[in-house]
Amino acid sequence: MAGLPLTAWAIEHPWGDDTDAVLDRLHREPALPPAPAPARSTSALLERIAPRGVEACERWGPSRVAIVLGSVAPRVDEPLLRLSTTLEAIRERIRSAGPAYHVAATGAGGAKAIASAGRLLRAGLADAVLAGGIDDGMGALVLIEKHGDSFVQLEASAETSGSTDADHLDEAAMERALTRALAAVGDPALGYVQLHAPAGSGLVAVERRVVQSVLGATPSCMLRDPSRPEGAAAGAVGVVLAAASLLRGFAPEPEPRELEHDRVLVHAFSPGGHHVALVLGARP
Amino acid sequence: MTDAFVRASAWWTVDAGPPHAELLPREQRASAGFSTRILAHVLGRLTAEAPLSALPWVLGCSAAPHDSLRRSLAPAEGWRLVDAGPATVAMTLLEAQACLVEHPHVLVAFAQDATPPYSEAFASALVLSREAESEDGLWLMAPRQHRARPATSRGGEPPSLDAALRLARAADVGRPTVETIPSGSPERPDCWRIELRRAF
Repeated sequence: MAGLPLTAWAIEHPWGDDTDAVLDRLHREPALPPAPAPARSTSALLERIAPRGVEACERWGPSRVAIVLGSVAPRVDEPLLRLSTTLEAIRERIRSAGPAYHVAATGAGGAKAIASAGRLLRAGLADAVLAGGIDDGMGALVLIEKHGDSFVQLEASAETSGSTDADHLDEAAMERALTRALAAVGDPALGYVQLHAPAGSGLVAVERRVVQSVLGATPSCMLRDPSRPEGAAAGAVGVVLAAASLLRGFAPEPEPRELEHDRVLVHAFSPGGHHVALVLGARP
Repeated sequence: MTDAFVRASAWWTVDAGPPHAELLPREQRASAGFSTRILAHVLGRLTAEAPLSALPWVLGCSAAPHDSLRRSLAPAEGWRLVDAGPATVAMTLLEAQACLVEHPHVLVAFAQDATPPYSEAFASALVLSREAESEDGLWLMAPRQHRARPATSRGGEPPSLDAALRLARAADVGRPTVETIPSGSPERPDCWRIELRRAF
């Protein structure tokens, strides 16, 4: 499967908007500072990536540029929160006229949106997709294009579902997601696996066990603050930090370690039973 | 571009009588939301046509399906809940069509609660395939934008998924049809055109 270049990305994080600084601070001070006001963080995030979105619309045509955002999952007694204001603001700002929608999955929406972006491109239904997720004070957007200059590419994705909830991780569902994503890549050599469970969670050990059963002794990293649950942004922030790690050539660990392989697997799961595996790699 | 062909279809409206929802465990039927019950009813009609638990699911609805439905059918290939306001039907079909790059078949389903006086409750579902399976089958063309002003809104009207019901009804009898729905942007006079065509 040909990789899809991540031609631009932007992050909004309590530790700032510079991915290197965020990676460094996450290890020194894992507990996050207070988040900035939601409206400010959303517009700041959009402004950083909007020029590249505008360029994509000029390159491919406005109707060929899609927007897919993760959103939190609705409940039966609480209908889906329509984030159409954010979606419409992005469309207007980058002047896109293509498909635009939310995929809902609390805790994994951003990762699912990026997986959807890859499928839209591979199906020929769009030529560029701005995808990600935005929460209060945290968010990430990536621009993925059919062709383009980038050091990092989306190589594969896989989604499964199982009985995973807030306290239980369905190991079989996670294993299927990892196995399928790696099968699509064809080469299982990874620099590291980015785990989804936050440090201190009992699910870290389960996630690590599945990684070991599928991949053997592959390094794994945790980058999420247990005190700051991510909703829509979850997974998208992880993808941007993984892309930044590939650019730096070091795994995001307290003692940075040079990557043995220029490929990272990002795993995300949600209480709604979703599992998403995204493989990013350095472009050859 | 990945093709999508209709392999099976089903729908439910109030005229069809109470939704049986036999896919839901009996003890959970009473507590399930109405949209979950009608969705379960429609999916129940499709179980003979396709192994639903082996397909990826794409749902266009205003609320996530009740956990009991997801757990009883256990869609192992993941499920995606799409929301795009007035354009939800088109975007859900687009997301489903994109799934066909990874899977030979996909389930795409819709459930709408009644919002008097604007719309009635219904559920509908299609199983799409990337290969045509019969000569008289229908081809779902990728939803595409169409420069046309949509039908005048009555104002304050909630987004409607009614086009999904009309598509399922047409597919049920093998009839080509075209649906035109608003793009979702109040500023743009364009629509999404969804077309079911004869496969051959």
